[in-house]
Amino acid sequence: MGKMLMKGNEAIGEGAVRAGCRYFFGYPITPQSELPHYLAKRMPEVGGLYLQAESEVASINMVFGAAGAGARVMTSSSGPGISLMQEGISYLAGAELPCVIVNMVRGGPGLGNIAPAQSDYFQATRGGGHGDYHLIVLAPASVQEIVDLMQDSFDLADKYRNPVMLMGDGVLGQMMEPVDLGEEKILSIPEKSWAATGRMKREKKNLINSLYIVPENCEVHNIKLGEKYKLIASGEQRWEEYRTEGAELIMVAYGTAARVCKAVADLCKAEGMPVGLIRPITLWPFPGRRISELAETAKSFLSVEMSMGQMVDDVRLSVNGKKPVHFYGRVGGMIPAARDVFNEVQFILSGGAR
Amino acid sequence: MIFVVGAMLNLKRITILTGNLGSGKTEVAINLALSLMRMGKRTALADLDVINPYFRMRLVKKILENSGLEVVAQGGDLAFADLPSLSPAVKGVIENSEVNGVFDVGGDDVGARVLGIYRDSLFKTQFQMLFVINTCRPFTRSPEGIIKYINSIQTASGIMAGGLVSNANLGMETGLDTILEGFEIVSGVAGILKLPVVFTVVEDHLEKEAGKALGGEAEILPIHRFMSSPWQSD
Repeated sequence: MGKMLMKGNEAIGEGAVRAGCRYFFGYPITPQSELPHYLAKRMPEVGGLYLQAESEVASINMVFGAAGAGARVMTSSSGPGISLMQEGISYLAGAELPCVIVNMVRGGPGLGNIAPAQSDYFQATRGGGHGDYHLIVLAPASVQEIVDLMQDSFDLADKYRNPVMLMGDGVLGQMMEPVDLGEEKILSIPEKSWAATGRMKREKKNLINSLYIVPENCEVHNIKLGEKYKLIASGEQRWEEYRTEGAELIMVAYGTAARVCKAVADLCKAEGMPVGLIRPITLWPFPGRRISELAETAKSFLSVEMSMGQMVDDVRLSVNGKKPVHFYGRVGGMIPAARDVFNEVQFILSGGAR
Repeated sequence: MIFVVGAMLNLKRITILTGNLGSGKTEVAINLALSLMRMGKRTALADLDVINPYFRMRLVKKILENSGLEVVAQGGDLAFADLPSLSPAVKGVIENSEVNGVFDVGGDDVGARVLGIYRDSLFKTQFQMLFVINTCRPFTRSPEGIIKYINSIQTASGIMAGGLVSNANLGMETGLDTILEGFEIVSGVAGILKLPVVFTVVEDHLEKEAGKALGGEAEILPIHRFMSSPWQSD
């Protein structure tokens, strides 16, 4: 099959179908509505189920049910809808249920607007809901990468029995790029011996639960989860590097902001300025190990975000005071312009002279 | 550059562009309107897209107006709103026989539903509804998929399609083969539905090659892209 021109939101849908997802529960919200729109058409073609729930609270609890029964299941929303889902997400993490949650981030806080933003970084990477837990958070930067990461999202969710969040924004969701969907693979979805699919003469009941009334037991559960997060944090850090070799200044940016920064790195190259980019693909676990290594050779870092400065905290933790970490952000639905970021880079490299 | 496209001389006063989501209606509408204007016709370009708040015409309104087009689109703060609102001036374009209109309608049957508002006044004047097809998009890669879409849009709008527009493209990766393969599929659909392929869209840098390859078979509308990704603008 030749290449296809797809919107990011459609690519999420198609990627999910190809990863074996057959259940989608969601509620429309701009800028991700093309995704439910796509799956409403596509799911019946593959014998799957698309269901528009009455709210985001309902959607996430439907996801809980389907995941508990062992299905590959997904929901999607944007900012306000994801906030509504937080209780359910915490329950999913507590009950160790694999699922994929898509957040196409929009301008906030509150109702904000429908324009692209990255201001849900804290919510995604720090937990978002109550209790000690982490989501695995993936941040694609192109429509092709969305398709590729959907498969990984479902695989990671199953491997660690943990909810995975795919974070994008309206630009990634709406823009169209050519994608190569490749041949449909024969899927190897691991058997879920823990799933609530009926007793089947097993000795022990499979219970899907996040309730631990006895504090000692709840502590044991939390420690077990903590061990799991440690394992994920050490084994699943992903990133892309661009022109980092010999770079004195390294930009750190993900998603749409990283696309802008790639253009900035090219501008810098043309001007003979040693500037590179590290693009986190996993936001949690954050690729801190590599940034820490780069802090040995680079002279400074610049976190470029569509927020007032959230990921920059993780960059600072990774650099650990070895080098200065700067920040450049646009907010409220605005996207950093390559020329403005370039000027900021020049400003830093010249030691603060405009 | 002045394009004089044969097919355009035969276009009725109002051209309504429909199609599935992301079929390229906005780019086609902008370029068609500019071509009509360059032929010396007073032309208004109307944004009737109420379903997609991203990458739509109102974002390049200023640029288009500066080039001499009349742009009818929701302006001011509402340009950024996720509201299904339309400019009241659309009706004016339909009723003013002095002006040619190019209407950019939202994608799919949900987008085409707005045409219901204008149906009665449209039937009192000269118009045609064209269906824009990009055979590289999901759901419209085969004649069956395309025909299903045309039917759903005809049902939602209450208007029959009067012709097809072949707009096969892979964005930046479009090659001559993309255009030719698409044209063949669209021609097949045209044969089944007994509708004309009114024009074939070709990015301006491929115009000569495509013209040669398609021979006299097809009318070509050369286009220049207006919708770009944020990192493509400086």
